[in-house]
Amino acid sequence: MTANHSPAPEELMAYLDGEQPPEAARYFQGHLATCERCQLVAQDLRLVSNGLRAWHVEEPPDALRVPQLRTDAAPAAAGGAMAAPAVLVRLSSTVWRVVRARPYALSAAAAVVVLVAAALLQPALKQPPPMPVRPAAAPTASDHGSSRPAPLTGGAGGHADASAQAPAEGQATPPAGSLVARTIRLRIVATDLDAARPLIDRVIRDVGGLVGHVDASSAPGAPRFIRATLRVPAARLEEALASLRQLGRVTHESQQADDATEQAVDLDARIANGRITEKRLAELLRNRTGRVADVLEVEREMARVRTEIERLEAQREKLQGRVAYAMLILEAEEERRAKVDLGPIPLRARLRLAAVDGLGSAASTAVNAALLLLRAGPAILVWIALLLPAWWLLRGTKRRRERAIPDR
Amino acid sequence: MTDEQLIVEARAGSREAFEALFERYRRPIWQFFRRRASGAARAEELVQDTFVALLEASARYEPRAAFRSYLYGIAYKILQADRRKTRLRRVEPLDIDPPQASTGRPDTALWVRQALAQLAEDDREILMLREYEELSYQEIADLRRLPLNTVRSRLFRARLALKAALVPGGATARSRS
Repeated sequence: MTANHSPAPEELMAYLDGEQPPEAARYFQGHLATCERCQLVAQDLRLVSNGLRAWHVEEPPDALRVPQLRTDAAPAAAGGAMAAPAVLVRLSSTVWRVVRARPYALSAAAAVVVLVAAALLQPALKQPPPMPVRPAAAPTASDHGSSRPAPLTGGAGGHADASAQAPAEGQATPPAGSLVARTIRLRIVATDLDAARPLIDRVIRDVGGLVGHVDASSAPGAPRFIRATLRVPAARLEEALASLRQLGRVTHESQQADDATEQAVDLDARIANGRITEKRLAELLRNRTGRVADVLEVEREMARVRTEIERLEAQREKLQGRVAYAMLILEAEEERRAKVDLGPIPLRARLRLAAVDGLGSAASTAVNAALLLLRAGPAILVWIALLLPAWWLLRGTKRRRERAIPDR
Repeated sequence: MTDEQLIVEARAGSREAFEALFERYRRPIWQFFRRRASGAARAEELVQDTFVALLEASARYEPRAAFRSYLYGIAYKILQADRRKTRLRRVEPLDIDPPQASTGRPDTALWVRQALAQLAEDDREILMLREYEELSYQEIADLRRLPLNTVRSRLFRARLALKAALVPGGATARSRS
């Protein structure tokens, strides 16, 4: 069945396979009728084909049925996304194949799902039920005309650090009508002390506060500092603090709140009693019927009561001022910059220092690496154990998708 | 109704059209895989995969080519993927469940299989696509991504080699020429 003959055996084979165009087929038909050699080649080819077709296979099993379609399948747009039934059939086929052929993969996937779900649910299970929170009382003007202070960290009379400035949700707040006098201490290491004083003045001016006392030091050889006692309207205290914190690094901050309600009530009662006494004494003096000595005694008593009332009113005003204006004690210190002149360092010393630093750095690196390994190693192993089956499933899915459909 | 009309209707969501296509090609696709896969169960799975893939790809089908070659294209891709997976699993493609001869003598089928096994893989595949699936040269060339002349020469070479295997001591055509 080879060449050296016209037509070539391959051409004859193509004719026998019906692969020649009609004109050529007519030629081969005529040629085959007369050419004995080509007849033998055709006979051989037919022999091979007949021999191959002797290999029959059994009928397809009855279990081989059409993949089920949903009767309500929506028509898929030409060239559009995959039809919904196709997705369902494909998904069911994939799941069934995994279940049947790779049960261990399914088990691994299920384990991953369970572990992830447990990790997600664990915080929720551990979290206690929320406690009922008493709503904070809305700020109202006090009976004495002073503005209500904002809620303080730590509550009345408490003492809080800077790390706990924000009041926690549900934290107790002063009851409505109570008076709180606040004192704040703020210590700052300022990066630029020259700019501190103008900033302090501007902040106090902006919030409508007062500068009670300022002590600035600029002694040579010592770090400069500013100590100021400021009075800030309680309602704008947080605004002032936020601005003053920009002076530099806050090293200490504390807030103290003193409940002055009882003291104010006591003062108000004593003032009221004094005024009543004063009024009665005045009536006695108007209707004087007794001796002169008695009249003089009443006048002395009136003067004493009047003095007492004025003293109490002064205390009341002072107390009101303490409540209306929080005291802010600010200490701003210049950042210390050490200047040490060691002079030129010999090369030998520098080499020794470099070697020591290098060894120290190497040891530190080794220790850190060991610590990191100990700290993160078990978690990494767990994640590998969790992600490996997922990666395997993804790889399998990707390969199944590689059964690309020919582009036609 | 032609295959092309049916697949267009199936693409539009017709269950009856898809079932008609399945009935037409259930047996040929089964035979395609049964002669190539390692067992009847595996062949059954691959047939299912083929029709599922057809279902997926029906939305992308363009009636420019014959549906038959399109379907065999899907089947051939699935077969290749299965073979690749089998190789990755390092499992030899043993014919653990050889196809049964429903008609004819069993020894004839065994004899054919043994003769085919002696061919180079490419030649054997081209020959089987031609003899069993009765694909045209052009369809085989498209499927195997080979030039048409290459398909024809390899097919001739395969038939020549198979004849030598089928007839002991007989490369008659070769000796004649």
